[in-house]
Amino acid sequence: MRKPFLVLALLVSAPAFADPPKLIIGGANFQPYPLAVAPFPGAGGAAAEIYQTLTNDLAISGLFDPNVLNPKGYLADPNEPMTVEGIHFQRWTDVGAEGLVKGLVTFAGGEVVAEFKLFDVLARQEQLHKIYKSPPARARLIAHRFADDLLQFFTNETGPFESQVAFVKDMGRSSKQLFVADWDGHNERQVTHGGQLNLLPSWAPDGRAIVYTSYKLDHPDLWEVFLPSLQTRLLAGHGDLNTGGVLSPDGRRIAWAMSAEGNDQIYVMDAAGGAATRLTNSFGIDASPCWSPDGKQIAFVSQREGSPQIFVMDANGGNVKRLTYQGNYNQTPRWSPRGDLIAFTARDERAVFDLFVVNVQTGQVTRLTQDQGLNSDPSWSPNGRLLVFVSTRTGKHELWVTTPDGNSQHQLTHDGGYSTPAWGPAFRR
Amino acid sequence: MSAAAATFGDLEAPRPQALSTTAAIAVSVVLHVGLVAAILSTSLYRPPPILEQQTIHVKLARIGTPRDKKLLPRRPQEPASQAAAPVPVSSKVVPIASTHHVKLTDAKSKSSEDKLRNALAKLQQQVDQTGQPDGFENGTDDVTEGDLYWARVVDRIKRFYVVPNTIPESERKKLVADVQITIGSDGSILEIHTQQTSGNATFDHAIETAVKRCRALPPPPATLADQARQGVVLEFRSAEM
Repeated sequence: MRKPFLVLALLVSAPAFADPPKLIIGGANFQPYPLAVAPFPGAGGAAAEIYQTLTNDLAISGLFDPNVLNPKGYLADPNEPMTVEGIHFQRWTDVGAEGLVKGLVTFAGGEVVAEFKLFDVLARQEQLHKIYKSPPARARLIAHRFADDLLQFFTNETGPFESQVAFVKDMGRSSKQLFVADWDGHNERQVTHGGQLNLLPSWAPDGRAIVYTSYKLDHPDLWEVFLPSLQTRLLAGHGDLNTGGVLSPDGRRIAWAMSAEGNDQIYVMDAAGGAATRLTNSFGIDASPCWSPDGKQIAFVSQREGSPQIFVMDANGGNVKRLTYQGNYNQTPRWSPRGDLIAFTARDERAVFDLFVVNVQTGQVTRLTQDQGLNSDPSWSPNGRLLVFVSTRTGKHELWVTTPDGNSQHQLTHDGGYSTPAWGPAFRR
Repeated sequence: MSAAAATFGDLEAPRPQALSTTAAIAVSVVLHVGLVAAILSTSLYRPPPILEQQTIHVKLARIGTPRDKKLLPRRPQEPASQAAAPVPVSSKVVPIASTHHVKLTDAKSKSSEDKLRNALAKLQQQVDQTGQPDGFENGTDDVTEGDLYWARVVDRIKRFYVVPNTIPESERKKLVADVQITIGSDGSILEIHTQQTSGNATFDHAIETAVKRCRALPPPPATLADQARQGVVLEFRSAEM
């Protein structure tokens, strides 16, 4: 009978145990994955071109460690086979690689044949095996497609590397023309030829047309050029000015800024044509509309409260909300395909234009570029992992890309005269 | 009835006594067992603590200049690397200006110029950098929040909080894992115990590696030494707070 009382006494006399305090540590530092790409043996020029294109795509993606990706940092045995049994995995571990891509480029029947394999260096396993064929002139596309397939493998997302970028190029003598190039600036093709000024390109969601403003009728009108036929169609030619036309994500409506009843205001109309519906009605200029990825909202620039700021409204013009409160000259909003951020150009207190992103939910503004020339006109890659923009940091107006945190920036073009890039949708060519 | 009762009483006289003793023992046993069971169940059951676990939000401000909230933000400067360790801004720099006391060789003069240039560059960096005038060289935030010691602990661990990029974007915003550590009086990490996994093995491995790579934390002040030795839970969140 004494034992229960003993237990009770022990329990009562046990010291109260308090939970330890909890420290919150947020914001993991996500570091690029150490993937190495061994130089490809095989058909001379094509092998080198595919290798260079692939490693460039992967380096710029911001997902892979450029120090490991770059073969200059170590010597890879060109005769090492591309099999689990034949690869000296320890050598790759020694250079810090956790993943390894091996490839072989050959010619067969007048076509380039490229075979690639991805290996897990630590587990010593093959993870991915792909074979592609193409005419020699399209060998770079093989590299872009495999880069997309690698991104799909690692991130479960569609890669952006087969997509294209449209932009305006200064041709001299006051002529500006639209061009389209591969996302990395290669393979430039001129899209417009008529008219002195062709401005502000924006892609149709299916990638088969570009909406732009042209003075080809000596008046700033909204036009559409179809690819690859290059046929054009007049969309809107009313009022004093038609500019900044953008197709909705479903391709059925066009929003643009038109000056027809006083100052610039935002209008929408059916993409097939028809009457314009006015969405904004303010004393200040309203311009530069862009659609949210779900097509339910439109971000735009408005001077209604004094200085140009980024605003958001429902697609029918209701529920207008101001999004930016920092800075006094914010423009060119571009909504991320992921929906969470809007990239924009802003002039800071030092009178320098730089790129920023604003979180749509919180309004928090983050700076992407700083102290490197003037930076403007951001446009999102279709997967939302990169932005193409214009920078003058080399002394010329060139196209650059950055990751959305601003930590990895790369130059795409080198001959100058570039403006207002628009990154096209992801689709296989 | 009475005779019968008497007879019954005579014949069965011991039985009522026997019954009452057994019943008393039985009741006593049942009561004791019940009491012990009740005590045990109440002691084994841990109700939600009246005082909830203390969650400490701490931040260590970097040294810099507070920024007008109406201005666009600046990018935080990367902390100076160890290799190019700048000369600390201290009184040592000042006498260099009054060189008439010291006969400097060319090499020394160059070295002094370099020191001065480094110091000026560092001052410029501090002016450009958003932070607090009384911030810390290695701080990571615009303002200091919470207890300074715990802020230093968080700041130290955060330096090693590196996670592979291959974790899909969809998971990056919601991964959370708790690791309990105990800290010795010299700041050494005595024990590491994963209290709650995130469900993502890559993330769990990365945070355990982060704590191990820290090796040592700042020594706790006397007021927090007991707390540090008893343990503290580190809640790692993949997303920014």
